[in-house]
Amino acid sequence: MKRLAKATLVNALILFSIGGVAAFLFSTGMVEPRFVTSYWFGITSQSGLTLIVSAGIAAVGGAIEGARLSSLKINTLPRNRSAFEITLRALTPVLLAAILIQFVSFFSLSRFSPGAADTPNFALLFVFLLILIFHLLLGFNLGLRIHPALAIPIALTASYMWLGASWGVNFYPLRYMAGLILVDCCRIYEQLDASSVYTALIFNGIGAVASFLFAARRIRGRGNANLLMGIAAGLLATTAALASTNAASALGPLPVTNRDRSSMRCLNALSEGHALSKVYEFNTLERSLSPYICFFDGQDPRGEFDTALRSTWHRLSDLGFDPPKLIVGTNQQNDQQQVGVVATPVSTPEEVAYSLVADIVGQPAICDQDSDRDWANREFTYRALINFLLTASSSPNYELSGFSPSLSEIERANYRNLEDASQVFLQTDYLDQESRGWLMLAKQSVQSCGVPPPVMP
Amino acid sequence: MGSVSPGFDATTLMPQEVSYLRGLTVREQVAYAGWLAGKSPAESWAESLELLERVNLSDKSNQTAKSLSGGQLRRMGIAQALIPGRPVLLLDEPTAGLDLQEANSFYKTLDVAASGKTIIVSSHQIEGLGGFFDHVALICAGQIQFLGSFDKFVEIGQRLGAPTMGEALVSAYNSFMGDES
Repeated sequence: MKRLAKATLVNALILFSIGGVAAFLFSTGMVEPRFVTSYWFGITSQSGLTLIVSAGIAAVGGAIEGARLSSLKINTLPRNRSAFEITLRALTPVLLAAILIQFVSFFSLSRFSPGAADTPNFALLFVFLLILIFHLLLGFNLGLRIHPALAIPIALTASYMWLGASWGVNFYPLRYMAGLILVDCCRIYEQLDASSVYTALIFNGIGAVASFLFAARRIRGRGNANLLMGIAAGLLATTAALASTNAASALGPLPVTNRDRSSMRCLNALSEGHALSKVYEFNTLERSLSPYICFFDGQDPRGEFDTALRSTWHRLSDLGFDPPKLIVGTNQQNDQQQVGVVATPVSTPEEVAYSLVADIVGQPAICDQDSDRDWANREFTYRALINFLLTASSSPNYELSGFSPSLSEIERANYRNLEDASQVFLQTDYLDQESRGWLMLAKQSVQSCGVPPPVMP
Repeated sequence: MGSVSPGFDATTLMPQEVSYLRGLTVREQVAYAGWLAGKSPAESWAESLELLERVNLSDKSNQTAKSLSGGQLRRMGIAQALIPGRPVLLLDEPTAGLDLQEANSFYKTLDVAASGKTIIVSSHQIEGLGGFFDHVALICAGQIQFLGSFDKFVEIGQRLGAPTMGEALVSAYNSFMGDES
């Protein structure tokens, strides 16, 4: 302890105390359970929410240490230490405080990890570390150059603005350079686009080196080598901006992509589990009488989703619908062969079953030739169809009608006969021909502009 | 003056204004100077207390450098300058802002603490220098006006009628510098 200045340690301890409490409150109050439950990748990502605190603390701590160092006319003292050693010694306690703040958040979120089949994402944690170092050096540079009364608030504001404000800027690469957008991830069937991680890594990594060179230049004082160091720092800063802009060029407003499905496990009522790739082989689907349902490990922690989906799938089949025989627990484009359902470990079986119904029906088609009245009619048909299916595919164990879209008084009057038919089907499995016919036409009209909405029975 | 190889690496400068890291204690400050000079943290920490004892500041070792008086700060400056262990100390106006008594006390401390070192002092305050130095170099506008033993310099002042050593130093100084003083 005596080898580090007490003031530096006290400074780090105060900053950690403030930041640690804030991080704990952040990670308990602002976390999205759908993103973190039973999914280490999501936990790692969401733990980055506290970067807004830890990076701010790093910037402020860096400014304080920079100001402390600038108060010492270092070039008047005999020096055999490099600028790197001096910087490292000055900033280590603050960096550790900022890292600990991040760990408070990470460990606080790890309470959501039971059931997770993956591991913490160390690449993402490394990027968070680089972000902290970048902010630390940003504050350090300010502290070295301007009065602490200005350097400290500017460092805090700059850190906050860079992380927070860049998130809302429409020039997307800026969001990825700052890196806070990486916390906007992920449901269990999603992952971060690798480019988003590379962008933050490149910018903050090279940016940190450039910031260090700027600081080293100040610490070393005047000299030819310092001119070269300044040029190198400028070149690196430019490289960081250009390379990260290039890395982020293909990215949209959000960095989330579908998770690689090869690790999914698929179950059929009559068979053992398969890898998803096996389900595609040998016309397995065509020969199957019941659906294959595929989830990532940990996605259906209690096995309830499988049961609910199977029940709903059979009810839809009984209605004359021909639901796809492959149901995958991932957000994807649906087709005749397969349908994706939204299922996270914190979903209810009813929510997952509702997702199956909603995804099979799809969204009402937007047709150029439709008048406002046509559109209203098609949209009403869509809501009526969903209402019908949710009622008819419910079961004593899975009551889905609570998810039904609302109908106006007039619409409900028009829908009355179908509502009665859905109730009859629910109780007797019988569906009259007229309602069955409407059902098929309604499905087609919702999905295709070429089919007009059918008249209500 | 001992035999010294020329070169900056042999010299430690104590500037006119002794600066310090905000928030550090006196001992931490001296230890930091030792670490900066290349000593290990443990080594410089151990030496720092010994040096503070040599400059009569050990009782202040746990106080912040900011709390020191001007004279104490300069004594801390001596400790900082000594910790690298270089053979030559170059002190720039070390007694600026100190009264004659404080200046005298400073040089006494320096004399003991830096025993065995070659000490070069650049100063306009010459009254307090008596008894501590062997040689005088008087420089004006880049030209050496006097270079010789301290005793010889005092003798010049005494020949001009100055009764004390301090007054003799001032008289000799004025005789060389004239209007420049």
